[in-house]
Amino acid sequence: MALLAVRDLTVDLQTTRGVARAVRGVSFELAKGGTLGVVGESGCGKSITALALMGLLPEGARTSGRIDLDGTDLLSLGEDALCGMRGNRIAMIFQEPMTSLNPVHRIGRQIAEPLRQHRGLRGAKARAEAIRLLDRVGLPNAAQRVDAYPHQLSGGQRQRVMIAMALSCDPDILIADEPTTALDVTIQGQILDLINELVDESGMALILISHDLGVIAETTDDVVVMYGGSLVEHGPTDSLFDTLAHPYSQGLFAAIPDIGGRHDRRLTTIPGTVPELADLPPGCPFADRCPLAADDCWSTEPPMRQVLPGHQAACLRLEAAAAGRANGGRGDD
Amino acid sequence: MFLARRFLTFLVTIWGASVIIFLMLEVLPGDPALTMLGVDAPDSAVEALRRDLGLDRPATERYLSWIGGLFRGELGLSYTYQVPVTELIAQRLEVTLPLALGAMLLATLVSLSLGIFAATNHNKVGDYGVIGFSQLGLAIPDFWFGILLIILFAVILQWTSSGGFPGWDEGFWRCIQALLLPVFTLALSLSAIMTRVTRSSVLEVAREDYVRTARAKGLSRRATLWRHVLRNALIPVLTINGLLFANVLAGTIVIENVFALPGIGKLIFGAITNRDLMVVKNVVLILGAMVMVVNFIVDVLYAVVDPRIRIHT
Ligand SMILES: Nc1ncnc2c1ncn2[C@@H]1O[C@H](COP(=O)(O)OP(=O)(O)O)[C@@H](O)[C@H]1O
Ligand SMILES: [Mg+2]
Repeated sequence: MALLAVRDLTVDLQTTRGVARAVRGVSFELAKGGTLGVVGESGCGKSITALALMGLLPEGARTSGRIDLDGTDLLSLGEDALCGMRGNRIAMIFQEPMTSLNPVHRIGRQIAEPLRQHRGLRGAKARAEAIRLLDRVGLPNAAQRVDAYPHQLSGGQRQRVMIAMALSCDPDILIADEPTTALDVTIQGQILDLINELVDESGMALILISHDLGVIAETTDDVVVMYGGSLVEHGPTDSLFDTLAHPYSQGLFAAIPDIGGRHDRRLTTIPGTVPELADLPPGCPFADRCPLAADDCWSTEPPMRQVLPGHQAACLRLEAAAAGRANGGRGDD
Repeated sequence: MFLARRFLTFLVTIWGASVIIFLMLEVLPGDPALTMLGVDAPDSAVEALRRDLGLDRPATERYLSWIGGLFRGELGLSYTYQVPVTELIAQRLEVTLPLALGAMLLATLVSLSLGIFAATNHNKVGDYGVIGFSQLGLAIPDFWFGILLIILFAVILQWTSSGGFPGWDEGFWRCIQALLLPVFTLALSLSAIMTRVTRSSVLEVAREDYVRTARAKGLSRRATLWRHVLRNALIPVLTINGLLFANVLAGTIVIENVFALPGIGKLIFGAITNRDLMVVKNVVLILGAMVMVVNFIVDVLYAVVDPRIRIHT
C-alpha cells in the first residue's frame, strides 16, 4: 500500500472575487521512500496542494476528496490530531527562507520547538539535538550558530535551518515547495544536493515542487504536471520526460533552452498566461493557449487517458500531440 | 551600543526643546514683564519685575542661568502664586503623573486583551463587537464622557465625589478613588485607538511566513499565537502607544478641568491665562521631557523585543 494516497483532492479558496477552485480533483500516490516531482507554471495550484496535505490551507478554504497517510484520511482528522502529524510525520520546507524563520527567536530555539512538541525534548537535550541537526545540514560552527538570530544568517543558511527543522522528528514525508527558487544560483545546487542526500539517508519520501525541470528530472521517481489546478500529466519520470504526451508538458519543456545544465530554466515561454481560477472556462483549462486545440477542447473536460502503463495524460488530442512531437522534437531544433 | 546612541539622541532632543521654548518666549512681541503685569501697571513695578526676571541681562546669560537653575532645581518664583515654580510643579505632578500613567496602563491592558481577542476571532461576532466599541470610544468626546461618568457615579449613585483631589497626605485610597473616574475618562479614547493598533498588528503578523512555519511544526493555534505572533505584533504597538503618551498629557488639560483636579494641565491652563511666563516655560519643558522619557523607554523596550535592533551583523 502506498504511504500517501491522494484521491480526487479538491480545494476551494475564499477570495475577494468569490470562491476559486484552486485544486481540481487531483489524485496521486507516493510510496514509502519514493520521490514525486510537481511541475507547473506559477499559479497552477502546486503550493495549495502542498498546504492541503499539511492541513494548513488559508482561512475559509474548503476541501473534498481523501488524503490517506498510512490508511488514515488526513481530511477527516481534527485539529489536535493534525498538530500531532505536522512536523512529526509530514514536514514542509517553504520557498522563502528569508521570511520563514521568526526574527525574534534564536534559531536553536526554533529548531527545538518540534522536538519539544513531538519528542518531549527540553533544555540541554533539545539544544544538543538542535546542534547535531544544524551540523548535519552543514551549517558551519553549529555549536555557536545555534544561538544566532535569523537575521545573522544568509538565505542559504536560513534554508539549511529550515531543513534541519523539517528533519528534526524524522518525518515520513518531506514536502519541499520550491526550496531553492528564492536562493542565489550558486547556492541552489548545494541545497538540492543536501535535500537529496538527507532523503536518501533517512529513507523518507519527498514531494519536490519546482519550476526547475532539470532538478525534477534528476531527483524524482514520478512526476505530476499541474495546470489550472488539475493534473494534466502524471507518470514515472523517465517515461514522462521521454514521451511528453500533453501539449502543456511539451510547451513547458520547449521553454527550456537545453536540458542538462541546471540553472536558469524558468517556464515562461508558452504564449499566454495562467488563467484566473475564478473564471476558468469549461472544457480543457489549457485550451486557449494550446496550439492543438479544436472545438471539442473548449466544451469537453478531457479525461485522464493512459499513455503507457502507469503514465496518463488529460488531453483529447494525445495522438496529434504525439505526432507533433515526433516531427518537431523538443523544440530545440 | 544602540542604547548609548539612543540616550545621546534623547539628551540632544531635550536640549533642543529647551532652546526652542526659550526662543519662543524671547520672540514674543513686547516686554514680558509688561505682558505679565498688564499695560496699566506702574513703571516701577514693571522695572522691578524685569530685574526679578533678569530681563536686563543678555539673552544667552538668561538661557544659561535658566538651564543652570534646572540642574539645581531652582526655577524661580511663580508670579501669580508667589511660590517657587519647582514646588508648584512637584505638587501638580503628584496628580498628573498618576492620572496619565494610570490611563496609559489601563488603556494598554484593555487594548491588549481586546485587540488580541478581536484578532483571534477575526470576522466573527467578537471581532465586530470590539470594532464597534473602538468606533464608539473614538467618537465620544473625552469631556462629555467625563461629565456622563460624574452624573452617573457622583450624582445619581453617589459612589464617588464629582471631582477635586484630597492630596496624598489624606490617604492613599481616597486619592485613588478621586482619580478613578478621570483615569477611566482619559483611557476611553486611548484604549479605542490602541485596540485598533493591536488588532491590526496581530492580524498582520498572523499572515507572516514564520507563523505558517510554526504551524507546520505542529504547534497549535494558541501556542503559535503566544510564542510567535504576539512578540512580533508588540513592536508596532509599543511605538504607537509611546507616541500616544503626548496625547494623554494633552488630554489631562481637559480632564483636570472637568474633574477640578489640581494637576499640571490645570496649572498650565491658569498660567497661560495669567501670563505667568515663568511657569509656562518650565511646565512646557517638563511636559516635553516626560514625552521624551516615555519614548526613550519605548525604544529600550523595542530593543528588548526585537533582536534585529540590538544585534547588527
Ligand atoms: N491565500 C490565498 N487566497 C486566495 N487565493 C490564493 C491564496 N493563495 C493562492 N491563491 C490562488 O490559488 C492559485 C494557486 O496558487 P499556488 O498554489 O500558490 O500556485 P503555485 O503553483 O505557484 O504554487 C493561484 O491562482 C493563487 O492566486
Ligand atoms: Mg507556489
